[in-house]
Amino acid sequence: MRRTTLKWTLTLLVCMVLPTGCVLNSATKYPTQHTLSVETLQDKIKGGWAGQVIGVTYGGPTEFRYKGTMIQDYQPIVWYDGYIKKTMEEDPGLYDDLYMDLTFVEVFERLGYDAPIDSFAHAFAHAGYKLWHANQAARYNILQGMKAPDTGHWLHNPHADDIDYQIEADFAGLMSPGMPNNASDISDKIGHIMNYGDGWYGGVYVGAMYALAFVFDDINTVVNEALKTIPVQSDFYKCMQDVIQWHKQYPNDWKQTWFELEKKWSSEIGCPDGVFDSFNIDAKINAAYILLGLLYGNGDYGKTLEISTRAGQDSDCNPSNAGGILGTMLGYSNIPEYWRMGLKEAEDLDFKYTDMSLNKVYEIGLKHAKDMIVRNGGKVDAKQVTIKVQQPETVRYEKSFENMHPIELREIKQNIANELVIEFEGTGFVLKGAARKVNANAPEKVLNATLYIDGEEVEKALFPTDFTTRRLELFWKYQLPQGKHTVKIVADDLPKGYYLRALNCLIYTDESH
Amino acid sequence: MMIMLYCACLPLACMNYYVSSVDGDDTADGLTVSTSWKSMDKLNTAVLQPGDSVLFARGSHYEKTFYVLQSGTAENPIVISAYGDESLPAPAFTNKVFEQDNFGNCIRVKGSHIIIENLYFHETTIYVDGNYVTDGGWAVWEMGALYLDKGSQHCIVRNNEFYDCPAAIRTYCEYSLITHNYIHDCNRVMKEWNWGPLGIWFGADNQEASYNRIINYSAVDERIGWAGNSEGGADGGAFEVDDARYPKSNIHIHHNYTRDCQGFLEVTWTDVLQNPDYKDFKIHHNIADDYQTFTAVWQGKNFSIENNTIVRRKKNAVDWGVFNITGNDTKNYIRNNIIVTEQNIPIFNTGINTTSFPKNIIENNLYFAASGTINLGKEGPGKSLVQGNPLFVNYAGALHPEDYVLQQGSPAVGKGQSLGYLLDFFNDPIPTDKTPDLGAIQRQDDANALLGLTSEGVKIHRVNDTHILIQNQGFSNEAYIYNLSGMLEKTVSLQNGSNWIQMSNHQLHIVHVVGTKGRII
Repeated sequence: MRRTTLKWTLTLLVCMVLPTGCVLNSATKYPTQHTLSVETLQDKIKGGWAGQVIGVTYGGPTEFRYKGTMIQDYQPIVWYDGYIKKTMEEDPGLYDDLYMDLTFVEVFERLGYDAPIDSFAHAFAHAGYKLWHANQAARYNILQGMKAPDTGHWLHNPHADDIDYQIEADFAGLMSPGMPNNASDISDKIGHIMNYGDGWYGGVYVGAMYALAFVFDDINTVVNEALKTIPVQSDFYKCMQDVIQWHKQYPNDWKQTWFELEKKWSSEIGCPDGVFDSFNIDAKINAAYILLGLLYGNGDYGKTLEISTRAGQDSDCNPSNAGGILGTMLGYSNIPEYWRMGLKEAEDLDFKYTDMSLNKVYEIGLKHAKDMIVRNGGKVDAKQVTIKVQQPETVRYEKSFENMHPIELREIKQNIANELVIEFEGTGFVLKGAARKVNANAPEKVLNATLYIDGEEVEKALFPTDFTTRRLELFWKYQLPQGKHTVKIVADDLPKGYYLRALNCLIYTDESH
Repeated sequence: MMIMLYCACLPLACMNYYVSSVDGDDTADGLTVSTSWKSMDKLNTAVLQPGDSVLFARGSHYEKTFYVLQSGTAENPIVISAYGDESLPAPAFTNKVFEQDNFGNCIRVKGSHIIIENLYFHETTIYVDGNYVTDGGWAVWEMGALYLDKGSQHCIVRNNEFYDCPAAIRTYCEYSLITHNYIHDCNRVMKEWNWGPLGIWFGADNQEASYNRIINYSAVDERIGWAGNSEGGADGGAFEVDDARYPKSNIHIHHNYTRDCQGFLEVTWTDVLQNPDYKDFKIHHNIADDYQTFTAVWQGKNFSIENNTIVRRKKNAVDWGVFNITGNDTKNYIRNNIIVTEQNIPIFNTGINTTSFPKNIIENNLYFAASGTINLGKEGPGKSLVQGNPLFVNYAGALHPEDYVLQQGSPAVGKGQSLGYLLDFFNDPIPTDKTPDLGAIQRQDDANALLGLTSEGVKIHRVNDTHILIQNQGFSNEAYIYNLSGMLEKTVSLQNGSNWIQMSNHQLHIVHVVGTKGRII
């Protein structure tokens, strides 16, 4: 390559006005637009909704029965014809994944795509179904007059990092085919009603995976690309990235990745039920189990469900998400018949507390997806839709429970007749407990109590004995100055036959102590 | 920046020595073009004085070592350069011999205040096993097509080309400036089998390397190994710092472009001694698209690694991530960089199987995984980060620095800290009245923005959405304008002066100017 001439060449790229999407900068090839038949779109939406039902039904009997352990291979997990319908009828609470989703779908249908956050908050807060964790904490906040998104913020919701929005974010992606940023916008509005930080990211990520499952036919690409929506500095990102990395490192051994996950990511900080306990409802570890199923399942429907289930913890919600995402990618008609067994007879059943059945949400879901395609610059005609595909953009960074380190779970086990005093050294506490009735058949009432910290009144709170409107924790307070504190709970004129039960007190310090 | 100027000395006080292997004559006086010398042997008899020049004929060729033993002065440096017909190739140097005092060197400089410019070096030898007398260092450290020896100071190496030289430039010269050189295409090992090819190789304090292009310096061979052969398979790189006998500070590496090298920079920690005192390196406004690593800093503290555009998408047998920085509490600054990865290449690797905690100060970097995911590794991402596609004008097919210009809407724009830098990769101004962009190239938003190309004789501007301006000063008489599919849209005859070109569509275009003289920047 001897230089023979001094002639030389200069090359310059001159940027004039650049139409969106005219340059592919990413090595992952994003089509600027993606066309599919209406029939295919419908098939994918059906696959997404049906996949959730199959997954949650399959994992239902194991939910939170295997905490910090995988479900052993010899443990049978049943699946038979008629099982879906039977479960929907006999155990409707199992489908909290679905009925929360459907509540939001119904609001969109009733009030339009620009419905305000309060409409979504009001809808689920006043629904008749039972809720737990971040959902219930948010519901209580809403019912006490707090406005969303404060209802999901970790200072007001000790469950902000829990799995809740993650399990109900499916709708955001299913109504945003090929448009992960549209899904993130929906999640920004609705997910913050009950979650914050990593808890919110769980739903953002799930929504983005659904959205991209309409465009890509490789689950690795879906998993990797959707993660671009999550801020790299978040623990949620780091946990998912670890799973992806360990999958590369141990491509044939999901159990090895499971062990790595337990070592690094099983420590719970936020949820008062999971700290100092093997119970873990944190969005991160459970999202990691979704990825376990998706990555090691590698497109195999049964394998995906089984791995997500056998990873344990919230082992119905995780296969529900995994089954829905993969169902979207494959399409309803490509979900193996074995897994659709008995589905038809359940598709007209309304989910309890809703007026929605699978067949209805298939139909409404298609309508919403078409409308969203048009709203985002795509085209829809009688036979096909053309999606203006969005490259994932990263949502904003936020973090719950920063600089909080659990140091003690102090057993209390006292009924609060008049007052309870607790002294501790640290920066925060959560007093777990509940409002109770002596006689289970007594009418529901709302009890009153006041929180004092270091002699100052901090909060007056109401404590419904009713399960659906209950306050999950008696009191909590974070971000106190590091040091000794005295907490006093004063019960205000408790009616006879009713009491506040304090169970235990979780104490935090900052990380430097 | 170290700047040396040489002034014309008095006409009678300094000499121009002319050398031409083509038509020179060793019996002539060597003092005019028509009485040039022919051989290196003859040239090596000359005793150079400050202000002298040694000029080699364009089109000539040499295979022995030129020993520069004398020194110039700050006012009157000795200049080693080219003369003759500019249509002919630059004077060419090679050396196939490796023996005592001639370690494959083409030019071996012992003196100070020497300028070496406009020469071409090619296909020099690799290391040959033998018994060599050195000053206590390894004989491999004597290699270098251009070798600046210990004791030399204030030398400038500029505008030279090196092709397939396993050790292109080796410098122990303090206060040296290595600038605007083109070093390319060496895939041979320097020494079998534990040294890959190196572009610019530092052995002393107070040196600067800027505006160089180093392309394809990498050897991949399964026989390559080091660390007891526990690692290997590939080696080499654009820049390397070693020889722990000498502490090193104030190494300044900036405004360079590297591609397909086996790493941008490696700073070693052990050779004949261990854990040398390396500190205060400044590495900024470089553009790198290499293998293995951007910086492997095994030893060093208080480095500034700032405003670089770093792409790590290529992997081979050896990969150390983007930043492989070891040591404890070394607290190097990693700021304002654009870091694009693929294949899940880790970004902040803190050593291979080590437990070091460098505690780098990581701020205002942009991270983007063009495929796969962002794999932070063991540190980071630091404060005030940006996550997202930097929107280079041509990432996928990038072969030139211009491909890394930021498009409108890039999330890298305006997200940097003000660190005091004044000129970006293309020497365009970095604003001091607002926050700068991330990466090596400051996006120029004004209507007459220069988008990345300037040279003696030609400048190209984006004027507005529909017009391109090429300012031509005898550089070329023709320009070709392509769309991004590579289709030729327009051929334009260029006149001297301003050439306004109207484009019918508001698209991205490639402007291609073919010149007859000048130097690639």
